[in-house]
Amino acid sequence: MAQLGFYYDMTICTGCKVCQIACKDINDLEAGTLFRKVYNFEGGEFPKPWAFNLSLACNHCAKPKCTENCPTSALYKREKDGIVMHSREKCIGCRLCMWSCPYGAPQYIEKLGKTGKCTLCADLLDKGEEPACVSACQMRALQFGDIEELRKKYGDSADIRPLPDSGITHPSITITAKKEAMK
Amino acid sequence: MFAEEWPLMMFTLISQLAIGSFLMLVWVRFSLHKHDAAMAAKLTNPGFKAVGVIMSLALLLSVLHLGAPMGAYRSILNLRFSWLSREIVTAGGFLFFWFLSYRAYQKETASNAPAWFTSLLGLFVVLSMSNIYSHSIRPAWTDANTYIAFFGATFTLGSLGTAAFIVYGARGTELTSAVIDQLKKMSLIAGVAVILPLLYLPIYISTLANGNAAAQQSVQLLTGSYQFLLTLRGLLSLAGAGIISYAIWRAGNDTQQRWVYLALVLVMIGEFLGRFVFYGSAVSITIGLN
Repeated sequence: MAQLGFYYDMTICTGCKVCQIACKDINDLEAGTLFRKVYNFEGGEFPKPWAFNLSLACNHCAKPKCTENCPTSALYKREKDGIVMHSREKCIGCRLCMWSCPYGAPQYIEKLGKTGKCTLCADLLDKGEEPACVSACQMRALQFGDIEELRKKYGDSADIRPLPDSGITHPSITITAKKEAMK
Repeated sequence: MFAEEWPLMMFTLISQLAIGSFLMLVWVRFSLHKHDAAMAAKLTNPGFKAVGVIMSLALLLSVLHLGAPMGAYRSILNLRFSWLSREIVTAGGFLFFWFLSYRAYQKETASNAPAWFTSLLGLFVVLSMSNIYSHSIRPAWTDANTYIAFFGATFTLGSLGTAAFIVYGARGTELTSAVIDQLKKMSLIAGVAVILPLLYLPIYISTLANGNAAAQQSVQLLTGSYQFLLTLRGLLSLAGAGIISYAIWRAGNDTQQRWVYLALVLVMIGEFLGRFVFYGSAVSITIGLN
């Protein structure tokens, strides 16, 4: 099985949040619900302050805990490309997926009484298009593709300071990080 | 606080009361049957009846926890991997086999086999329940403390619940020495089940203190804002265990019943506070904590 994933270049991301907005738009999400979120980190002291952004959605982990724990199989890995899919019809809103994801990807949608998450815009991929967040990124800081290919091209780095240990779920993401974000 | 989890929190406690009580009632009935079958039935029947009602209430609460309760039946679709699916199947099975055991016990020549099987199923419910939490990404739950807390509550609430059901069943009659022996066993089990989780508490906190950022935040909560509740929980549970011992070893037959009920109430409040802290102090591993 191939495994699709994301590449994120923190060094060129301006934190404009257009990826977040594009994701919110295509998934028709209400205020407060984000399937992709841009985090801003800052620190240091004059004359050496630092800041960096981190754009994250579901990492379509190789060993996701959410699919394992989900009692209805509403969350499952798509055989052909390893995308962690979510069936809104099957979901019963038990929220166990939210206790299972170290990246906070599944979001509870109060109005539906169910959770939802990034599916890497699987419907767009099936039509030969790119995920909305990737298309929207004007800096080309976000890319998607076969994670092994992306790792060959950009290196294998999912263990940066703000992220949980990648050994928990083996996320399909690789990041070019600023030095302040490195462990 | 964590309002959406209250039905779930109550489900864990109430189902553990039902399962623990069933387990102990089966044991007491089996032990007393040799001495006086009629007495064994009279003392345990109210408890057996109550277990069904309590477990039904627990399952209702588990459904109310869902955002889409009408889809509750789908919660059994991932038995292969999900401990939540296993919990629901075994909890439903427990209620079904409770009914069969209860019906079997109404016959004079009943076999104990259905009741023993139901007891085993009950233990598997508690194991599944514990595994749901230990397979999460909250270090406070992935510790052995979850198993100790859940099985501890099962045996504490079960032994005290059973003692209360027995004295209720025996109201107006003098307890025989065989019955008092059973009650003594209940009080000993309650004592051990109360003390073990409390003894483990320092180990639990020191393990978390050496863990990641989320684990350390849990320690801050346990030793900070939840310290009072945690202390109160320990004191109430110890008081409950002490009172039941007093009731059985020292109190006269006329006041015994009230002491046993008081012990059960104290332990229930203690376990409730313990479970509240269990939920409240569990911090998730997440972005930005490292």
